[in-house]
Amino acid sequence: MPTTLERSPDGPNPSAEAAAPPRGGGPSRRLRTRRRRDSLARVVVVSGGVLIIASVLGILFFLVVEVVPLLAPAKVVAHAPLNGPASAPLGVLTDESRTFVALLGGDGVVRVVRADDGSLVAEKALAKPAARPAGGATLGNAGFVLGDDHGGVVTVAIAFETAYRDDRAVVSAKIGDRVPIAIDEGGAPVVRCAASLHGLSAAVVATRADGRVVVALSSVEENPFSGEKSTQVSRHELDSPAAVDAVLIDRRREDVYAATADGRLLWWSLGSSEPGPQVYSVGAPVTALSLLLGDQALVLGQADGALSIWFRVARSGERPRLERVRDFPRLDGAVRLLAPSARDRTFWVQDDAGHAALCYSTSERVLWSGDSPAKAASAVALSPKMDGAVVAAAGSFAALEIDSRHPEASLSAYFRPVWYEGYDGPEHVWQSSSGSDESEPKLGLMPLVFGTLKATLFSLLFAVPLALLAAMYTSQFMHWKLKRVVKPVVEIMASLPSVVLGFLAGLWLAPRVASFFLAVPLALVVVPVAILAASALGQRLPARVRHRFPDGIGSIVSIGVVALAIGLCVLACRPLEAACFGGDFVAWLRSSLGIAYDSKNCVVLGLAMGVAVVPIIFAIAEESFSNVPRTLVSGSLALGADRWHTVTRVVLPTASAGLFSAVMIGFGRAIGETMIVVMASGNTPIMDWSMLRGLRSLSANIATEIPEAPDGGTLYRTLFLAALLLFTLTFAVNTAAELVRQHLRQKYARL
Amino acid sequence: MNVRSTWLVLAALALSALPARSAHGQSTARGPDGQAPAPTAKALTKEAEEKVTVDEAIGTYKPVSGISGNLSSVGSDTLNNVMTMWAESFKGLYPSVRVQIEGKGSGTAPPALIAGTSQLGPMSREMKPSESDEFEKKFGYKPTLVKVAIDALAVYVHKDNPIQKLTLAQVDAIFGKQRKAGGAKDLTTWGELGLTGEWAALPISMYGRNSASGTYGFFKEHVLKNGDYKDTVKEQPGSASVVLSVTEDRGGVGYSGIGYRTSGVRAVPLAKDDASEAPAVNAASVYANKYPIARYLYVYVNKAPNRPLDPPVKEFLSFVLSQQGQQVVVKDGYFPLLSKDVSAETKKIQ
Repeated sequence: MPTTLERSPDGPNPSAEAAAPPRGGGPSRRLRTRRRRDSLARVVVVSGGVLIIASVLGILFFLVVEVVPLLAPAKVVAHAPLNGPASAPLGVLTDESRTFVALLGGDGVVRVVRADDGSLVAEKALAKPAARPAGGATLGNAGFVLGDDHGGVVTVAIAFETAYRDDRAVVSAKIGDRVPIAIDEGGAPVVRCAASLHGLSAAVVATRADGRVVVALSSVEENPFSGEKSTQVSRHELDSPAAVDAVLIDRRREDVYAATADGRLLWWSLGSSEPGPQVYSVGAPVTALSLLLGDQALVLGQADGALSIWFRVARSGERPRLERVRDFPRLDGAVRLLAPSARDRTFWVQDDAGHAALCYSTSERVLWSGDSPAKAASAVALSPKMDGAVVAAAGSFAALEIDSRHPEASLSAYFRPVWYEGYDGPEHVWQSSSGSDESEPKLGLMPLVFGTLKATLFSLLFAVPLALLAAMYTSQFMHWKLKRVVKPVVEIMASLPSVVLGFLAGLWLAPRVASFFLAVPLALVVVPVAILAASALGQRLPARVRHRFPDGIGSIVSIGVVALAIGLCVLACRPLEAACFGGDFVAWLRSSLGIAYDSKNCVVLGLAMGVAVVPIIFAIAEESFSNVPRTLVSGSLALGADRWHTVTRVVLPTASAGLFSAVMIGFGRAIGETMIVVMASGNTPIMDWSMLRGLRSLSANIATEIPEAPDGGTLYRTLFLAALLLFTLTFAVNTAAELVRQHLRQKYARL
Repeated sequence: MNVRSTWLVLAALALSALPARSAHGQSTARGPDGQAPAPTAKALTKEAEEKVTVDEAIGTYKPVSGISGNLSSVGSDTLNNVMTMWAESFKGLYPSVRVQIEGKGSGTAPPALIAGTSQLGPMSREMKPSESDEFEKKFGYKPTLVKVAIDALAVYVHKDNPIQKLTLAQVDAIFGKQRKAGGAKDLTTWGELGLTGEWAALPISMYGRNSASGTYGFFKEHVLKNGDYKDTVKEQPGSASVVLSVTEDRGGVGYSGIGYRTSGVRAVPLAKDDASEAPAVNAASVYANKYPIARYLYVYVNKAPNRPLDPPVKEFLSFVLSQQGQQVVVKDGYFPLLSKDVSAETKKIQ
C-alpha cells in the first residue's frame, strides 16, 4: 500500500557508505555490490510497474476489441443478376443453404431454380387452367399461396432435403402437391392472399373483389409423446370498410391485419367478440405490410416513403390497440417491398426507385442501405438463416450475401429506454436471452449499472462507518494487549471466501431477516443507546471497583452489550409486531406504507458485503492511524488537549489521506464483488432505490450469463461491454480518489 | 467457478445443520418432533403415487469390450442428477472411462459442443435455430438430437400452501409481465387466487431460473407465450435452489423439473384453461398429454453424417436408451421414454 511504500529509502544510505573504509582509492567491493543490487532492484521494481500498467492497458484493449464489432454495419454483397422466369414473381423463397431459389410467377407457376446459375430444377402450375392468378405470397419459408380470379386459393409446400454424400451436403428440392383451400370456390375473384404456418397448423387469408376478407384456419394439435394428432378446421368471414391492398395473418392464427389504399390500417382480432375491425388512419396509402419475427410487430411502408413499426399495446383498463411505436428514416420513393427475417427482427425494405435498406426494429438501426441489384423487383426474401437474400423481378433475380452479426446492438438499445413489443412504453429492461429466437432480446444495461451502484452504496453505507470507527478505536483507544488480538482477527475476516458469505446471506440470513425485520430499525436505535448507557454506568462505578478489573475490559464488555442489545431487539420483535403492526411488520409495511419487501434485498446484501469489505477498510485505516507520528500526538497531549480532542483534531486530519484510500479500496472491492451479489441480491434487474428491494449488478450478470453466451455472439460482446463499463467505472472512481488523496497528502505533509 | 455444485454442497450443509425458521416459527427442515430430518422427498412421493414402470419392450444394455476414454458433458441443470447417475452406472460397466459432468443450464450446452469442450450436450429444451446455425457454421452439419427422458415441468409452492390448482393463464399472470396467455389482471397476492385467511394478504414471491436455463426458456415459451418475466422474479442459479427457496418462503412459488421435487414443496396441479381439469402430476397424465407443460429432455451430440459416433459416446447413449438407463430416469423422478421413442432415437446414434 502507498503509505508503506513512501517511506522506503530512495538510494543507498549515506551513513552506511561513509562507514565503509575506502580501500585502494576506488569504491569498495561492498559498495559496488550494493550498487549493483540497487540497480537490479530498481530494474525489477520499474519493470514490475511497467508490466502492471501494460497489463491494465492490455485488458482495456482486449475489452475494447471485443466490444467494437457490436456497432459495425452489416456487409451486403450482391451477386450478378441471373435470368429468371419472364413473369413478374408474386413470391420468392430460398432454402437454408441458399442452393435453390423458388419463385411463384405471376403466371401461376412455381419454379425452383438453382441459385448459382439460374437453371430450372422443377416446376408446377398452381392455378387452374382457365383461371387467371391474382394475389400470391410465401407460406412461412416453406411454400406459397396463390389466389385466382375464380375465387380459388391454393397452397403448395416446397421441401428442401439435405443428404450427405462423401462428407458433402447435397440439397435436393421438391415441389409438393397443390392443396386447394376451401375459401369459396366460384365466389368473387381473389385480390390478395396471405398465409402463415406454425408447426403443423396453417392459416390462409384472402381478400376478394367484393370487399370481404375470408380466413381459413386449420389447427393441428399433436401429443408429442404418442404422436396422435387432432385437427380442427374453421372459417371466418370479415367485412372490410374499403378495398384491401395488403393483408396478413399471424402464426398464432389470432390476428388479421389489412391495409387499404386510402391509408387506413385494419386489425381484426379473431378471438374477440367485436364484429368489426379496429381502424387506424395512417396518412399516405399503405403500400407494403409485414410482420416481424414473433408476429407481434407490424412494419408499415407507405406511398410517401414513410416506414414505421406498430404493435399492440394493452394498457391496464383499456382494450388493446395498435400504436405507432417507432419510425425509420423516410425512403425516397414509395415503399414497395418488405421482407422479414426468420432469425431476428431484421427486415429488408425497398422503394420504387430501387433503393434498399436492411433495418432492425428494436435497436432502430439501419444496418445497411444501398441500391438493390434488381431495381424493379416484385418479390424479395431474406434467407432462413439470415445470411443472404434473393431479390426477384420479371425476367431476372439476384442473390445477395449478408453478413450482419450484431443487429440488435446499438447505443440506444443499451443505454436509452426502448419500447419493446407488448410493453406500455419505453423502458430500461435487461432480459437477454430465452429458449426461443422469437422473444425479443432486451439488452438495456442501465438496470445493471444501477444495480451495481446501489449494491456498492448500500454495502459502503454499512461498512465505512463501522470500519473507520473500529480502526480509530483500535489504534487510538484500545488496550495494546487486546489490540494484538483484535487486529489480526479482523484482518483474517478478509480471507473469508465470498461464496460462503453469499451463501449464508442468501439462504440463511435472508429468511431470518425477513421474519425478524423489525429488529433492524429497532437495533439502529437500541444499540447506540445501550452502549451509551453501559459506558455511563461504567463511569459511575467507584474507582475502587474499577481498578479491580484488568485494563481494556471495557472493549470486551461493550461486545457483550452490543450482542445483548441485538438479542433484545430480536426477542422484542414478536411482541412488538403483535402489539403495533398486526402481527407481521413486513405485511404492515406493504399494506400501510406501500413498501414492497423482497426477501433478498439490500439490507441482507449490505450486511454480507459489509462483512467482506470491513476488514479491508479496517486494515488500511488502522495502518494509517498508527502511522501518525507519535510526536504529534504527544505534542497535542502535552499542550493540554484531551484524548478525544487529539484524535479528532490532530490524528484524523493527518491520517485522512490514508483513510480516504481505505474507503476507496473498499469501494473497489464492493463494486467488483460477484458471488455475494449473485446469491444474496435476487438478481432482479429492477431500478428501484428502496433498500428492501433486490437488484442485479454488472459483475453478477457477467458471471451468470457468460457460460451461455456463444463465443463472438451479441450476448458475449454485450457482456464484454458490461465488463468495459465496470472497468471504466472503477477506473474513473479510483483516479478521482487518487487525485483527492494526493491533495490531502500534500496538505498534511508538513505535519 | 462452479456456482451450482457449491450451492448444492452448502445447501445440504444448511439443511442438516441449521434448522431454519419460517415466518411463523415452524421448523421446516426437521420433523415435527424436532428429531432427525423427515425421509427424503423422493421416497415420500414415490410411495404416494402409483409406481412408474419402464416399458418392457425396451431392451437391456449389453456391455461391449474395449471402451475407454473420456466423456465430458456440459449443459442442463435439470438433467444434471440423471446424467450423474447414468455416468455412475456407466463407469460401473466400463471402469476405464472417465466422465465429467457440468450442469449450469441448457444454454451452456451449445457453446461447449461448438467449442468441442464437451461431447454430450444435455438440454431441457430444443436448440434454438440460431444456436444450431452456429454449430452448422463450424461443422457443416446440424447437431444430432437424442431424446432421453420425459419431464413434467412443475410449478412448486410451499408445502403448507392450500392452493388446489392453477391454470396456465394464472401462472402466466404470476410470472409474466405481459399476460400473453390471456390472464385478465396481474396476480400479486395469494388472495387474488382465492386463498383466504392468513394467505389472503400474503404476497406471491416468485423464484425462477437464470436465462442460461432451458427450463427458463421452455417456461417462457410455453407458459408466458414468449412474454417477458416480471423483473421481480428472483433468478436462482440452479433448480435445487429454486426448490430450496420455495421451501424457505411461505409465499413462494417457483418452477423446476419434476425430478427436483422435495418434501418441502408441493407441485400444483395445472390446467390448460378454465374449462379443462387439472390432472395430478403423474405418468398417466403426462403420457396422455393431459398435463399441459410436459416436455422431452434431450442430449445433443456432434455426429458427422454417415460416420459412427465416438465409441464411448455411442455406448453411453445406448446405455441411456436401454432398460437400465431408463430405470435411472424413474429413480430420479422423471418419466421414461416409450419404446417407440427409444427405437427411433437408437437409430439416430448408429
